[in-house]
Amino acid sequence: MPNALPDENPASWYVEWLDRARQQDRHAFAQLYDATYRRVFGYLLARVGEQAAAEDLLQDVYLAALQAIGRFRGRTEGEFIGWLLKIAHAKVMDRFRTQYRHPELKTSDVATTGVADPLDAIDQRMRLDEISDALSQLTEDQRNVVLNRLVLGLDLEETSKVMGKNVGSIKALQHRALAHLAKILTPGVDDHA
Amino acid sequence: MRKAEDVLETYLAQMVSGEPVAGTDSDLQPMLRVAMQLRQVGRIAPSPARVERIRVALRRVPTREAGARSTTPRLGFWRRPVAGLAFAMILMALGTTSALAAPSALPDSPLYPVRNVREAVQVQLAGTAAQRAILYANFAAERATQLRRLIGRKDVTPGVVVTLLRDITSRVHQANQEATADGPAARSAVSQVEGQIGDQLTQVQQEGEFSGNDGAQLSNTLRDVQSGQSGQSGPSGPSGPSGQSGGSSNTDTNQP
Repeated sequence: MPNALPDENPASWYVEWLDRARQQDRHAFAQLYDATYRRVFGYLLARVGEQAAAEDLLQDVYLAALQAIGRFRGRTEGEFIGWLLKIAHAKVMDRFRTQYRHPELKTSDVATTGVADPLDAIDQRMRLDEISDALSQLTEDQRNVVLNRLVLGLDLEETSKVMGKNVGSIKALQHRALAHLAKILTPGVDDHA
Repeated sequence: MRKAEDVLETYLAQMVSGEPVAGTDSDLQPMLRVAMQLRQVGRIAPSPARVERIRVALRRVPTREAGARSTTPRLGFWRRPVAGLAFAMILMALGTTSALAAPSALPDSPLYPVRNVREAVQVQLAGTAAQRAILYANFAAERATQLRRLIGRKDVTPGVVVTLLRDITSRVHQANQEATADGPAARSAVSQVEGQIGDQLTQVQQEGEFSGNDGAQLSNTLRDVQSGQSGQSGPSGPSGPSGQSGGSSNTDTNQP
């Protein structure tokens, strides 16, 4: 995963930049943004299924985080990412509520960037839509476990720590979640849960 | 024999660490295909131009004072008595009778704007985010009670229902924002009031015959109240009595 950070940025790196960002040091906040935006974007993309919408939300998340960083008390990478994802979750829910009221605002006709062939772009966009719709049908725990493991690339122990559940529960949750997703996304597959 | 969950985990661990996944159990293949698709979603990056635009925006956007707890701009300490005095003068100008009648005025009354101003001043004079949260929640609850009574008496003027519901929604959003800024105790208190509002609106839904804008607004408000109770309320509603639009939702905890 391109955003694997722990090796590049040791714990002390986050302590220092978080402290400086809390003092409204914009350069420090920009460093934190550079270190984390890919993972936050992956989460947003998986939830909303649209590249353009995920990019809009990415900006909203970091602007909200900038406003609130003064009262963020965490000192580790995990705490910071978890906090950003909490903001991201709130932004996604806001978007879903707005879409419910104004369905015409859905932006799935916006081209997916980074895909050379327009047909590939359409395929990718449709698949993203399907994946985000399927994720919406999971329980919150199931959704969080697959997002943490597969989109954010956390290992079993890290996921267990972030979600406050034991490793056995995480294994069971991810099995049920993937079985459910496979049933939704692959016609003819039975639910293994 | 290993459990399916353990076998799946073996393959997922290989996938997450970037190793090739080979020789999989055929029962697990659909699940692993889905897992692979999710991994691919995690590899999609935002456009470089957008990344840069956000970086620039983060450098330029003005911030509130570090550690600010509320999304609602507040008056300075010394200005609050001044605001109170100004409000008192407004009340005198409007006449005592009007001022006393304003708290229960309905949207079709000329005193309804006075009610809104009165509430806005009460909020501005509140000392803490928790007090503001409770005020907003109570203002919403008062309107829900009024609406239920109106529906019960079949005494509804066109437009009143939509305005009351819209104002309930905005106050619930404000209450949740202030409660989130304050902490769990305020959230719990607001959640209790939201429960009462939800009950009132459910009765309204059962007793009334709604269609068009009224029906849609009722469904939206009820959903917002219920989502506020479950801690998912956000700033999608219109402006509250202080005239401020919503800001960010909950940003205080650490779970995705």
